Amino acid sequence: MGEPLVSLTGLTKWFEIGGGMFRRPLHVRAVDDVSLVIQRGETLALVGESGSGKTTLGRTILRLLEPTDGEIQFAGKIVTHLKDKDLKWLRRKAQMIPQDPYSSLNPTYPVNKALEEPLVIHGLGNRQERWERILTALDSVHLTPPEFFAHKYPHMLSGGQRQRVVVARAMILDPEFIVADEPVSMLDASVKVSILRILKEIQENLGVGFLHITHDLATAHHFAERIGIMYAGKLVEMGPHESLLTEPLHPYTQALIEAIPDPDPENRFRERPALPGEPPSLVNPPAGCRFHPRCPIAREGLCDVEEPLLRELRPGHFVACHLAE
Amino acid sequence: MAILELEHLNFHYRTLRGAVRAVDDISFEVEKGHTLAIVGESGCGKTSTAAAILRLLPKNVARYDGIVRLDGKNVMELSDEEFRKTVRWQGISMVFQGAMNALNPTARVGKQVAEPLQIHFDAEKEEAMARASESLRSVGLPEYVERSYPHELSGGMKQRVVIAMALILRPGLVILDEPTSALDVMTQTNIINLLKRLKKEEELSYIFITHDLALASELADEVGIMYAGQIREIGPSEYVYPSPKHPYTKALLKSVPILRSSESPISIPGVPPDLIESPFACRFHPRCSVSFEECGWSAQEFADILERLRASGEDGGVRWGEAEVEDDLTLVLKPEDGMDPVTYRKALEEAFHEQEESTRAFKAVTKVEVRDGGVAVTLHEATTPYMIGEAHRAACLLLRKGGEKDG
Amino acid sequence: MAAPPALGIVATLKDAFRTVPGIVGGGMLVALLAMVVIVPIYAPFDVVSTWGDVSAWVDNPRLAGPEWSDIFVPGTLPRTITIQPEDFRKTKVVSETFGITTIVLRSTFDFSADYFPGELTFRLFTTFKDITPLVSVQLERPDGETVELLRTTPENQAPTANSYPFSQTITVPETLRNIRAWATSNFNATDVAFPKPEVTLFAEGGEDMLDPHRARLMRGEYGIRVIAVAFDSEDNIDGRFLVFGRVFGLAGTDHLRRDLLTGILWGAPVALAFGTVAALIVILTQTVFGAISGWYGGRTDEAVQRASDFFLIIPILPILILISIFYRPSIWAILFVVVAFSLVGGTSKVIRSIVLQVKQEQYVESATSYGASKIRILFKHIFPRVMPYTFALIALAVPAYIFLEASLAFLGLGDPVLPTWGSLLGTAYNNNAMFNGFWWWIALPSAGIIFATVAFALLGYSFDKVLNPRLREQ
Repeated sequence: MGEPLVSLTGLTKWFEIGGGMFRRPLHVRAVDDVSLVIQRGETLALVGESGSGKTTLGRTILRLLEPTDGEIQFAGKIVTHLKDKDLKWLRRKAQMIPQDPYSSLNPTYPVNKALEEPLVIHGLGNRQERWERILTALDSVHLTPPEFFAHKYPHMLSGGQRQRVVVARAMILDPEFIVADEPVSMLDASVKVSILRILKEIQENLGVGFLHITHDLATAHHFAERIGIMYAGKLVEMGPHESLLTEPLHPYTQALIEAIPDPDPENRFRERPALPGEPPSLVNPPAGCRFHPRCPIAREGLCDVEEPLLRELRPGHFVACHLAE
Repeated sequence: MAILELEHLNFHYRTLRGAVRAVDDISFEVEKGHTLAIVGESGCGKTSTAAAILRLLPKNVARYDGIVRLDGKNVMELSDEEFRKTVRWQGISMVFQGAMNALNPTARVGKQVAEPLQIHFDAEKEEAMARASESLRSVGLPEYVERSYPHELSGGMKQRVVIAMALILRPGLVILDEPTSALDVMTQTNIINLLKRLKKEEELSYIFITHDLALASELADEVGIMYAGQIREIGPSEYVYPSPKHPYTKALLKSVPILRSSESPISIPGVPPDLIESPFACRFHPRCSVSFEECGWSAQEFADILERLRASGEDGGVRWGEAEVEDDLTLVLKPEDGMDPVTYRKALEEAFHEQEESTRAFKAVTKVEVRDGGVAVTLHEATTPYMIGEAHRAACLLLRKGGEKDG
Repeated sequence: MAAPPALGIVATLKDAFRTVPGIVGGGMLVALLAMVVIVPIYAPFDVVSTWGDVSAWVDNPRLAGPEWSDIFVPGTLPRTITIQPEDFRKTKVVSETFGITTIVLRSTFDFSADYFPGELTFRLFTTFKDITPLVSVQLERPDGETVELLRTTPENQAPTANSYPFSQTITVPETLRNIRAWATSNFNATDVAFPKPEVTLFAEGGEDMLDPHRARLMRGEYGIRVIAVAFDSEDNIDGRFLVFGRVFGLAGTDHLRRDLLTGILWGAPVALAFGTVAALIVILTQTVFGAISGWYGGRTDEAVQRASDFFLIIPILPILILISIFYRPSIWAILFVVVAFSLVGGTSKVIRSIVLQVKQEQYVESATSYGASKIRILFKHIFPRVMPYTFALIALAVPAYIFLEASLAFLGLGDPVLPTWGSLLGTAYNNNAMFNGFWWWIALPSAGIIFATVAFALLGYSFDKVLNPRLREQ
C-alpha cells in the first residue's frame, strides 16, 4: 500500500485552562495518545459524541493547533511542531471542510473571490488561469453553470449550495488530504446525501484521503471505508465499516449502535437501551478505562485500574477493551 | 377521541420581500394519547404550525384563520386573554427548540420551573414550588436539581427541566419542537425514552416536530409530512413508513442513510422552495421525479421551455416566435417572419402534438387559437393537489389519477 | 450573543438610509452640508476673522433680536436706518471775506416702525487744515421742531471717524442736556431721572415725552442736518447717521454688535470639521487597535486592553482645560490632544468584542487552513466585517466631539479666533443673556448644536437598526 498519507503516533492535545497567578492551571485532555493512519484515497470516519475530542483531533492534524505530545507525519514528513511559515506546503496539501455552511464563507466575498483567495495566497496561475480553475472547481461540485454561481454572494445561496462552494474551495488547491468536520450535519436530509456523494466522488476520482468527523454513525457507514470510534479523548475502536457495525467489539460502540434508530414504526412500542450517565470530565478522567463507570461489563480491579491498549482482534479491526475477544 | 383538530389553518406573515405562507391550509387531528410527528425540512413551516396552534404570533402577521379545536371546542373564538388563561400551557404546552439554552443562568432551576405558575396563574409560592418539584421528579430528575443553577446541569438534564416546565400544568397535549436536536445520541435516546414513558403513564398526546424520519418513528403513531407550508401526506406510521404514497415522502425516506441497511441513500435534486415564491400548483413538482404535465406548468414556465428549445434548435422546424405571458395559464405567441396566423396556429398545434412525448409540457396544452395577429396558447389548469384517502391521506395528483407510478 | 450580521459597507449604508431615522438624519446632514457651502458666500473668511475686532461691527445695532422676532409682538420692530455720506445733500459756501467756509449736510428718512429705535449714533468725518471746524448736528422732526443734538469741534481727521453715540448719555452728555431743555421749554414736558434721547426725539410732543415708559411714538419723515463752520476753504465734512433698529438679520447681534448669523453659520463647518475629523481619527485608530487586540490575543490583547482602561479613566476635559489655561490652543491643537488621548478606549473594546465573535466564524479558520497569514486574515476578512460597525460608531461619536468642542468653547477655552456654537453660548452666558431676555443669543447657537448632534445621532441609530440584530425588523 506504500507510504501512508497521514500517520499519527501517540498524538496528544491538552488545553490549559484556568491558570492564574496563584493557581495551578488545569488540563483538558481533549485528545489523548491517539495513533492511526489514513491512506491515500480512503475515507476514515471518526465518530463520537460532542466532547469526545474528534474535532480537536482533526484540527490538530491540520496543525491549526499545536500538539502537546506525539507525532504527525504527513506524506512522510514530520509536521508535528513546524512553525507557521514552514507550514505553507501543508496548507496547500491538506484542507478543511468545516461544519457550518452559514459561517464558513465570508459573507462579503462573492463565490469567485472566495475560491480565488487560496490560489492568490499560493501564487498559482494568472488571472485567466485562476478563473478557469474556479470554473472547474464549481463544475466538480455540480454548481452548474459555474459562471452563474461564480458571481453569487453566500446569502444568495441555499445551505447545500454554500456547502458545495466550501467543498470547491477545499478542492481548488488540488489537496491530497481533507478533514471534513461534520460537513453535512447542518443540512437538510434531502441535500445531505448530495454533498456526501460529491465528497465520495472526489475521494474516488482524485485519490484524496479524507478524515470525516461526524456524530452520525449511519452516515459514516455509508460514506467511509473505515470507522474510528472516539470516547473521552481516546480512540476506543477502529475498523472496516462493515465489520465494526455488524460485530462491534467495544461496549461503547455497541451501545452507540443500539441507541440509533432506523425509520421503523415499531420503534415506538419499546424503549431503546441507552447507557446511563454522561461522558466523563476531560480534566479529571477516570483511571483505567475511561468508559468503565458507564460500562455494563466492566470488571472491578481491572477496568478501573489498567488503561486498555488498542489491540487488533480481527484483521484491520482494533479495539481498546480488556474484555473484548 | 381527538384532543386537537385543525381545520384549514392558515398563518401567513409579511416580510420586506413579500408574504410568507408559513402555514397554508393545514388540517389534521391528534387523538388522545397519540403522537403526531410532523416531519419536514428546515423552513417548511413545522415550527410556524406549532406557533399558530399556540397563537404565538409575530407582529407582522398577515393572515391567521381557520379552526383549532381543543377537546372539541374551537379555541380560535377565544380572546387573546382567555386563550392565554385557559389554553396556553394548561391545554397545550410546548418544548421549544433550543429552550434548554434559554434557561435563566442566574436563577435556581426549581424557581424557574415554578415561576410561570406564580406569574400567570397567581399560585402561592409554596404551592408553585411543590408543583415544580413534583414535575421535576416526574421527568426523572433527582431532588438536588431544584436547587441547582442551569450551568451545573448536563445537556440532558437541562432538556428534562424544559420538559418539566411544559408538564407543570398537566396539559393534555405537548408540542415538542426538535426536543433532542442539540443533544448527543445517547442523551437523545434517554430523552426519547422519557417521552415514551410519560406518554404511556400520563396518557399524554404529543405533536413531535422533527426533520429526522428515523427519530420521528420513535414516537409517532401518525406521521405528517410537510413541504412548503403544506401537509402533503399524513397517516398512521404503520402505513406511511412501509408504503409512502407521496413522491416527496418516498424520496425523503430514500434520502435517509440507514444504519442497518447497505442500501445507499439517494438525494432529492433541487433546492427546497421559498415560502414566498412557491412553485405553481403542486409545490414539489420541480423536484419530483414522477411529476407530469398536470402537476403544474405556469405560462411563464411554458414560455421558458419554448425559449430553451428554440435556443437549442430543437423546435422541430417551427419558429415559436416571441412568447408573451398573458396570465398564469395563457401565453400569446407571435409569428416571427410574417407568417399568416392561421397557418402558424396549425403548425404550432401539430408541433405540440408531435413532440408531446419528448417535451412533457406540451401535454398541458388544451387550446391553441388565433388572436390579435398571434396565437394564444391555453394550458391545462394546473390543479393544486388536495388530500386523498381516509386514514392515510396524501396530496398528489398522481394518486387521484388512480395509476400510481413508480418513483 | 449572535454573530454580527453579515453585511458589507454598501449594503449597510443602503439599508440604513432606508430607515426613517436614516432618512431624517441624512436629510439633516445634507442641510448642514448645504450650510457649510453657503457660509463662505454669506460671510467669507476675512469677515469672520474680524470676529474678535470690535470696530468691525460698530454699524450694527447692539443686542438686537432677529428680524423675525416681529412675529412675537404686535406691529413692526424698527430696522436699522443708515444714512451714508453719499446720501447727504452737501452744500458748501466759501465766504471770501472772513475766510470762513460753511458746509451743510442734509438728509431725510422715513421712520415708520411701531417701536422707538434702539440707539442714535452720528459719525463725523472731517478734513481740516489747522483749526478744527465747528459742527452742529440737528434733528428735524415731522412736527416741524428742530433739536440741536450736539455742537462740537471734532478732533479726528478723516478717515478716522468722530463718533457721537447720542444714546450713550455719559459719552455725550450735551445731547441729553439739549433734549431736556428743548422738551421742557417747548412742550412743557415733565422731567424724569433717566430719559432716553432715542425715545424723546422720536416721541410726540407733550408732557410725557421725556419718560421712556410713557412717551408715544411719532412716525413720519425725519431729517438730519449738519452745519459746519470751517476755517479753510479746503476743509470738508462727511457724516453717517445711524438710527439703530431693535432687530437685525436672521439671528440678531450680541453685546459687541456682531452679527450672530455669521457666528452660527461658521459654527457649522467648525463643529462638523472638529466633530467628524475627531470622530474619524479616534474611532478608526481605536478600531485598528481593537481589531489587533481581538485578533492576535495574548500579550498584545492584554497591552491594548490595559492601555484602553488607562485612557478611559483619564478625564480628558480637565486635561484640555489645563492645557487651555497655559496656552491658547487653536482648534486643531485641541483636536490633536483629543486624538492623542483617545488612541485606544471604549471603541477598541467594542471592536475587540466584535472581532472575538467574527474570529469564531469558520471562514476565518478555513482561511488559516488554506494558508492565509494572520495579517492577511486581519485585513481581508476581519476588517471588512467590523467596518459597518465602525461607521455606526463614527456617526455616534461625532455628536460627542461636537459637544466636547462646544463645552471647551463655552468655558472660553476654545479656538481664540473662530466663533463656534460653544463660544457664542459662552459669551451669552457671561453676559447674562438668559436674565436679560436675549433669547436669540442662546437659542440659536443651541439649536445649531442640537441640530448637528441629532443629525448624527439619528444616522448612528439608523446604522444600529441595521446592524443590531435585536433592533433589526422583519
